[in-house]
Amino acid sequence: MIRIENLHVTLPSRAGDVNILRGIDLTVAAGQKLGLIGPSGSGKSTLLMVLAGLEPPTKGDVEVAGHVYTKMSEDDLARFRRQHIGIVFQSFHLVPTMTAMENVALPLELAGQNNGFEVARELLAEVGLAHRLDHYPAQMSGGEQQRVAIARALSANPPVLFADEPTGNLDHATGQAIMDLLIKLADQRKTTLVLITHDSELAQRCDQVVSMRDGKIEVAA
Amino acid sequence: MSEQNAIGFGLALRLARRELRGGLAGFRIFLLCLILGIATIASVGSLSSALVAGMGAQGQAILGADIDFRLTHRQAFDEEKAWLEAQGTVSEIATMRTMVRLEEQSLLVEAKAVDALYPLYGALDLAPPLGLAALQTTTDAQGNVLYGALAEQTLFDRLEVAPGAIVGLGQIRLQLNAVVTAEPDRTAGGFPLAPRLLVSPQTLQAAGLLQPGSLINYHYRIKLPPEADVASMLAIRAEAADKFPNAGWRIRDRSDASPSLRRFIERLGLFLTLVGLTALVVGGVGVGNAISAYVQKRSESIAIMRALGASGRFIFYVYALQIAVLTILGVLIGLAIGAATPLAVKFFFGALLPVEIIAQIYPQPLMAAAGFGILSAAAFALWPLGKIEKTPVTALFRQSLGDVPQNAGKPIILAIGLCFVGLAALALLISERRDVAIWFGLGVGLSYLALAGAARLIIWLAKRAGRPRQPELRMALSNITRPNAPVKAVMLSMGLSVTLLSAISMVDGNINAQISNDLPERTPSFFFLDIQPHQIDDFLTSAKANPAISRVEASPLLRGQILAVNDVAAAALTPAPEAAWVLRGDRGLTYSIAEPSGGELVAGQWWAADYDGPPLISFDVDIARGLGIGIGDAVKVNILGRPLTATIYNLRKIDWASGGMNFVMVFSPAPLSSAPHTHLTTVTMAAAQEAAFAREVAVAYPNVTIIRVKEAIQAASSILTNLGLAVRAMSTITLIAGILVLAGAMASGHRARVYDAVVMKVLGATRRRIMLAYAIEYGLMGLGAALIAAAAGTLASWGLIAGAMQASWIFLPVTLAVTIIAAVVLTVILGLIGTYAALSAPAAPVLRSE
Repeated sequence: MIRIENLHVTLPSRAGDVNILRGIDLTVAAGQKLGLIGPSGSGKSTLLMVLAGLEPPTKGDVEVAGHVYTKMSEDDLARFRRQHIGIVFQSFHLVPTMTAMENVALPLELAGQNNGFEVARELLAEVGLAHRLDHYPAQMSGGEQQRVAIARALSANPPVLFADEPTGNLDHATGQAIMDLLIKLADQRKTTLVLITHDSELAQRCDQVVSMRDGKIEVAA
Repeated sequence: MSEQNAIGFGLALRLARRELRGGLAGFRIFLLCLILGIATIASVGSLSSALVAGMGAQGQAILGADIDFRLTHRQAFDEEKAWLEAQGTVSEIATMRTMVRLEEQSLLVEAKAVDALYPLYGALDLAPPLGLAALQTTTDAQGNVLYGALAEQTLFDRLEVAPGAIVGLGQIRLQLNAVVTAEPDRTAGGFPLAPRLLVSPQTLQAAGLLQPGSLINYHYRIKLPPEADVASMLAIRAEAADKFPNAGWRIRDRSDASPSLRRFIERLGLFLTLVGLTALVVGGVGVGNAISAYVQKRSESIAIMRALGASGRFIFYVYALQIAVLTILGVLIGLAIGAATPLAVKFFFGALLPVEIIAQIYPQPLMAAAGFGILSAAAFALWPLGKIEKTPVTALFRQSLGDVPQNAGKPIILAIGLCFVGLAALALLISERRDVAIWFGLGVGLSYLALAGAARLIIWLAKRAGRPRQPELRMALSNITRPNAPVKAVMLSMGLSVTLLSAISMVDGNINAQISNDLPERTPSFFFLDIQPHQIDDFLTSAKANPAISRVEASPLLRGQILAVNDVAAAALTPAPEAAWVLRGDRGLTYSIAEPSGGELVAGQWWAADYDGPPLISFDVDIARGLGIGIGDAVKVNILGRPLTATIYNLRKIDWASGGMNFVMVFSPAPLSSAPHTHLTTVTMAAAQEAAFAREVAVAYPNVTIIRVKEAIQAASSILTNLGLAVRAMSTITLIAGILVLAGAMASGHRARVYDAVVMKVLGATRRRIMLAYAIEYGLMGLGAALIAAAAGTLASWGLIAGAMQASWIFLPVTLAVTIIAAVVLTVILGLIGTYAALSAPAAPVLRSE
């Protein structure tokens, strides 16, 4: 499902170019759960951005769900994302001026599907937010916002789900509940999951754990 | 100030300086908005002053004298002449409009007979440089007398001849010996209707044009001793009024050589200053937005200071001082641009101006511009600054505006009100026409309120529009209703500038329509002047017999000057501004047995057909009202050097827009019917036969002046067109101010838009769909602004055309539609330019930083 070969990402900074990723090779099979751990600054989030098509690689090949990124334009990547990728961010990144239902329905609407709101209603019920359909992000707690984000990420039933520190802004108990939800839904849908976390305990809940340091894969277990 | 207060103020100043150390990056729009408006007002005021000063400095050359005494219809009596010659060197000039003929063509010219002393000041430039000797009489090869003449290039171009050509004037033949390339006193006569022809007095006499009652102006130009100053000239004028109270001459001196040009410059300057003030008001919106955005960025610092014990008032001072410093900077830059404008105009466009301007610093317009700038900056800055004082500390930390008071408090509201009152007072102070300033101010104020109200209405409607299924439309509506949405900024910035432009377009369109469509239908084809009494009957008979002529009107014509009303001298009267013109110089007069057409009797009765009693006048009712006179009042008029007192017998409402012959004063027949006078005739005929008829008249009546109305309308039209272009060009300054404000509003909302665009991209929206959402958002706002602007502009044009000009107003739907569409398109384009920048931002850094 996911194949990366010799991936390099170099970003400009005031102090000069910074090599964020320095030759990453990685393969993730369909339906597999991959945990990506590493200290802060190891390049985990950048790797996820590349996998999501949000950051262009400086060198190397990236293939997700049979699509090679280097051959795709920005709009092609957007179209690809709406049907093949779901992303859950640490900071939720919900649209502040849309309700929970509208946030969840949005990827389906962008894909041109007419049943977005029906799907959204079901998914929000599934994540325990049936009573929050018409509430705005500012009216919900962090845990609730993350549930909405998870529902949104899964609304188009994507084959691949990326989660970048999904519990990073939540307390321990809430974070555990979120992880339980995330993994349950991914298992139900047989979605390939790439989970970025600094918490090794969370990472152990995945099928495969990869450790990163200084832009390189240190250990693959 | 107590020691405690002094310490607080000193600390506030120190903290303000520290804040400003960070640079002016957040104040670019603030400064640009201020500088644009102030520079416009300062530039217009400085340039007007420079032009008027130039006219004053070159007054001698423009007037052609230190003092000019003008008599109409007659030359000076011996006694008058002797007195004039006792004042200084006297040069006598005669001017009249007449016709020159070349084969089948006849051309209206402004003839000027000059004596050997001309010009007393300045230099007459000719090509070739023959001097006044070119006006002498010669003979041709056949021994026929040729009278020398000089003419402007336009005359040669219109007749398609070169120097040396021979043309007819009255009963004689002229040889056009040279081109007048510079006539020093050309502008003193106001806007020229026809090309200049210079001849000698003997030539004019020989041409047979100096008939009793002919419309000729005799100028007695006096060169005073070098030491003569303004006081001397005033003394001479006073003596003239005392010695010759009934002379009826118009006196001008070098201190105001061309009052009509000066009034035109001042009026145009006033209007353009008001346009600049509108730009400042539009820019004020940008000022307010910039300060709100700045304060919001500083909210964490403000919250910390408040948490550490700083009072709301103290914080207000810290930020108010920063704004004051920046305002002064903006004012100084704007004033520098304004002060430099006369120099720049002189350098680049000096050759094109009718008068050489005096490029120096003019403090008065600069002070006015500074006053406008400071007051408008204060008016728009106080509200966002005042809200800091009222905002609780906790709200600043939460960055949530849900529970923050949106009111800045009564003292701030009062201060803002005083600023607007100050702006209005300053506008009235600098305006010669206070009524214009009042209406303009009311128009801007009401438009501002209407647009602000419309912004609220759009937000209210967007909230109640429900949640459309289409995500782009939903996003557009939700963007309109989100906190800090740019709706008000867009509506005010685009709305005010488009209001001004649409008002100007509608007025321009109405005037052009009047000139192109309406006037030609109402006005006659020709005006024939200087028809002698012994010619009028034959003229009318042949005109009425001409099958191509549909209408002929004739009226006796004299000119006279109002000397007094009810024994109060004209100079001591205080007429309303719209009636003041009737007291300036002489006016056309007529007499009539029967009530003339083109008007309606509104008070009193017409005199009997056989009336032979003391002189009576029928007066224009509007002018009478402006002069504060009515039936029974006595009006003393100077006609041909003799005073004539007549009693107002009735008042008429005259339809000046009818285009026919109309006179402010119509006298009863006696005694004017026995005074030397000429006749004025209007002829309406088929356009195809006009040229032929004009030729016939020119041949049969060489002394008759022919004014072809179409040509006069065209001349006026081209002046108005150029004027319209200049005014429109200046008015685009308000549009630039609007664009700046819009740019500022988008800059302050840029971060939110980048975030929205990135999230939408993450979720799979293409750039086209995101742009569509923003296009809908800006399109809705632009449409709201355009509709209000169109309505306000239409109302303003109606007020000006129907109200002030008392002409019929027509609705111009195409002009309005173009304005609306252009405003919407411009708003969308500007909105999308800002959005494109947001769309181009890479996603990852945004997602990491949030």
